[in-house]
Amino acid sequence: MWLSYIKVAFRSLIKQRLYAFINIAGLAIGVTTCVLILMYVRYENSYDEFHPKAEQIYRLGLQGKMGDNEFTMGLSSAIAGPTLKEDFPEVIDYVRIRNTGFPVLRYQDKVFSEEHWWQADSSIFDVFKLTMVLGDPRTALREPFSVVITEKMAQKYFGDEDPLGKVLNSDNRVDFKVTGVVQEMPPNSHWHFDFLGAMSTYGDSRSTIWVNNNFYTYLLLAEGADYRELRAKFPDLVLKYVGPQIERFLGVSFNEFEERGDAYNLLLDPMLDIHLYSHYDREIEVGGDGRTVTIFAYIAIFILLLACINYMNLSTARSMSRAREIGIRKTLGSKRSQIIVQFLAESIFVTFISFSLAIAIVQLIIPWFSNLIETPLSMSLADIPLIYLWVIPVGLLAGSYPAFLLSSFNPLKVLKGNRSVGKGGSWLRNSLVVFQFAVSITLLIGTVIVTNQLDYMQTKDLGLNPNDLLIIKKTDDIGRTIQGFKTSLRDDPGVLYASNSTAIPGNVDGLNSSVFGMLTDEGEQMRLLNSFWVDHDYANAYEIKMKEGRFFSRDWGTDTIAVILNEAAVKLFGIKDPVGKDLITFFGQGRTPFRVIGIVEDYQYQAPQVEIRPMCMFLLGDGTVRNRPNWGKFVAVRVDPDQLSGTLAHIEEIWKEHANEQALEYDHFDDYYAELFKSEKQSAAIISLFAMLAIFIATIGLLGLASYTAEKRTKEIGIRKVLGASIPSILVLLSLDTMKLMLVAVLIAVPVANYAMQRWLENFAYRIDVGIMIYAGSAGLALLIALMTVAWQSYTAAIANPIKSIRYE
Amino acid sequence: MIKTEALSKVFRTEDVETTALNQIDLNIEQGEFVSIMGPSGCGKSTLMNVLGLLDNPSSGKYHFLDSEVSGYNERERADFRKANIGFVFQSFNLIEELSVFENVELPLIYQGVPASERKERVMKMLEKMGVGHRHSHFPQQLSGGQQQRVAVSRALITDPKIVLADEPTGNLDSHHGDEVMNLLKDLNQQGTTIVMVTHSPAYAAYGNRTVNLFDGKIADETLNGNFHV
Repeated sequence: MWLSYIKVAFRSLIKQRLYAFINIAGLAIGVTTCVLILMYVRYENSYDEFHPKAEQIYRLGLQGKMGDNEFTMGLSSAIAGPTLKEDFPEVIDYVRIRNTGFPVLRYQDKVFSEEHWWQADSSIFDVFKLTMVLGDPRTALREPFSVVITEKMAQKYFGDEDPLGKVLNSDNRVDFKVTGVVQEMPPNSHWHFDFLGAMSTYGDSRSTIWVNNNFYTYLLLAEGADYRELRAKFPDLVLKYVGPQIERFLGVSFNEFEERGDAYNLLLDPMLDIHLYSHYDREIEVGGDGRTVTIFAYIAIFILLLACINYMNLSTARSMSRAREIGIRKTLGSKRSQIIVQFLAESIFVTFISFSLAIAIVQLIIPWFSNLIETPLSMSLADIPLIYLWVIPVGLLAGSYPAFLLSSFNPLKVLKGNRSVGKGGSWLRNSLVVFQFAVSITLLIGTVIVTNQLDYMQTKDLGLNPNDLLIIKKTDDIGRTIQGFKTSLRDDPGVLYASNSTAIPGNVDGLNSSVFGMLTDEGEQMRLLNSFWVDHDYANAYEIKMKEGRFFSRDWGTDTIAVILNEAAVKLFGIKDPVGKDLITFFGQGRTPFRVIGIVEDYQYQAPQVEIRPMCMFLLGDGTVRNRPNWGKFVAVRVDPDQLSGTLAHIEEIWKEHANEQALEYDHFDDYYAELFKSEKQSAAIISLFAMLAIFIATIGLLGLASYTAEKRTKEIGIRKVLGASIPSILVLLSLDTMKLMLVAVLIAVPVANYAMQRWLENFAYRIDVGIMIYAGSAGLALLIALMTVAWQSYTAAIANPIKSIRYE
Repeated sequence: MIKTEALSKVFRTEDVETTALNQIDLNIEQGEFVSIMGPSGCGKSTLMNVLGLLDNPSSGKYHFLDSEVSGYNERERADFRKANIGFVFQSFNLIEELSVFENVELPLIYQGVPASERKERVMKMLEKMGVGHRHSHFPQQLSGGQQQRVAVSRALITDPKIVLADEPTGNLDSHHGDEVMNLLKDLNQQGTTIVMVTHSPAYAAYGNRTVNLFDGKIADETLNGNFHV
């Protein structure tokens, strides 16, 4: 019996090759897409799971408010970790890590500027999973000036030599002894490093100040401990330790501080949530977006559903040609249940072929897809049986409707050739196609909006000139001779300006976030501002415009105690005529007033996605002023584009003179800035891909419905033609049906897309207005595709000779 | 009114060539009621299709009124059909999704007749055929005889020069069959030219002439007693 089913299934596939091809290909494409998306979703959800104690690890954070300024970050003070372990028994251990800029490391003739040098407590081996290749985890990070390096770094600096005991020089200042070699963190970790310097090396790790928050602190909680209970104890802890310090620094009691509406709260977040759900200021690495991942998971399911619907539609559409077989089987004594089983078996058979094809396609395109979404995905052998597990449910889902419909045929009517057998059910078939197109149109609208938003952000006026601007990185290593370097750069006529600063637009690393005071009409107001350090040429190099006053100038010796604000800062303090007023700073120990000499127009000095926050700029020191840096990590060079190649050669030469062996690293600012849209570009690429696939699958579905309808209406069309209907009028008649379905699909898709995309757009401080044209355009495109799909079927039906369809029944 | 000369129709498939009509010479005068008879496969329906301009002959001449129509293309044939020919089928061929009224109205829509005039003409026709009270029903709610009356109404609504009826009683019991035949006879007496295919000698006798087809050729013609013109 089963053999007969398979045989019939196989023969029916062979007989209707085109239909079988469309059916199998459609399902295979749906499954491929679904598998790819689910692999991505699984990968995104797998972050940090490789730590055996991952579920017991929580990261401390800080949520605070000062005036109108709120901040939430995953950082905490040096003292927080030790205090928590001391005070709460459920805190078994803690580890603090902190990034230490870009040191220039030297070993013999090897000189490299490194970006991933971190400080870490020796407890890191107890809390995290680090696989030690060489050295002893118990002692490796105990002593000051010891460093643990990754295998890659060991190879880079020491080649085949034994790295243990070797000395790495940092910035020509201090030497670190290599005490261990570990494996790299896997890619699905929210944090990566190349070097771990012993925390004990750094004095500020012993700071007891609660209001300096520069450490990422991870707590290891006892098994079974509820982190929410621990978190509930934090307010008392803050009152006990932070309260007195606030009183000392701000001059108000903690109660008064809170009564003003200000806040200082410790946060505690599961480490497993960091990658997808924690989007605080200054995250270690750019995380994934949990919402996007969830949306993708839904899309995956929808696409699979679309593909199943296709199967249903195409199968029922072809039911006419199977009706006779069913009639004969029934007449010969087959029970309805046997017919149902037969068609389900057939559907599972087709699903099996489609899945096999899909697995092959996935294997083939996974490198390309990984590359597209810049995520290292791979399919292991163990995944294959997991995927095949879905053959039966998918096959049953896809085959259920055709099986029940076809098996319900009345054998008498069928054998008499009554064509109105698959009557009824058209409501369901139409709904399925409407559903397919609603999903497709939603994705289409999504694609258009994502693309437009991306385009808008990339072409939006940043308030600075991103073109013809080079950024030389890691200039802090030549710090002492930075003035000479800049002067030499300007020897080349192609260099218009060269400016040294601690931060560049789009990069948050160099930004400080601190409290500043200002005398306003309502007394002295404390506000949190971003701040960084620049030289005299900063405004010229970036072509930033002044709103009021002037920029730092070499003509004014007093500019060492001057400050520049942006418009947002002026607004935050709510002051009129800010130029000439004093900004109170708390550098070092005491209060120092800085004179406001100018206001810059707001420009995008942070990441392009975020709102321009209040900010102030100070002048870099020349070595004579205390409590300020004398050089920054970046030199921006405004170049004459016509002389670029000569200028680059010149820069290379000057760099060599000043930086010895260290390689020159530079970016074109516009290229570097475009990189900041990576995640959005990735989303756009994925969603466009999905939209195309969804439309493709839906189109196949519509093709099925169209051929079904055309077949079902052949007689009607014949009669109409005999009565004098023209071909165009038949085409209109058939297209009208499709139009009606599309209209319903649009009515469903537009509100859904609107809701989803408005929420997505909320991620951006500056967003496009979603005009009616986007919706109308997307709907129009879908309609056009739909009409083109049915055009062939309709045309074939319309030109058919009516005598064939109406002669004898 | 209709004159064919050496009219032939040959169907070709890959390896078989079937001659469905072989050198047919047929004259039909205005006001005649011609019955066509013959065994299955003799070419009756093919002849009706060619006469009805649903299909082109392979060779020969076909004069309809004073026009040579055998070379017409699809569009010309459609226009010609619309203006001159009414069809009645064995299986009624009513559109199930349309009401009785809408079915009869359809040819007028394709002729571009304005809505108010359509309504008047359709209702008048339905009354005349005795199905006026059924105008808002759907075909499947009517008896076979009633369905055929609707089909005849639809064939006549455009005042065609000729009505082609292809076994109009084939799906009806004898009671309803007689009813339809009387209807056709009445129409003919009012001046409508009718060509009818039938298997029944009794119904064939309603016509004033019977043409017997065999193997695609006219075997013989007999005049019946009831010649009215």
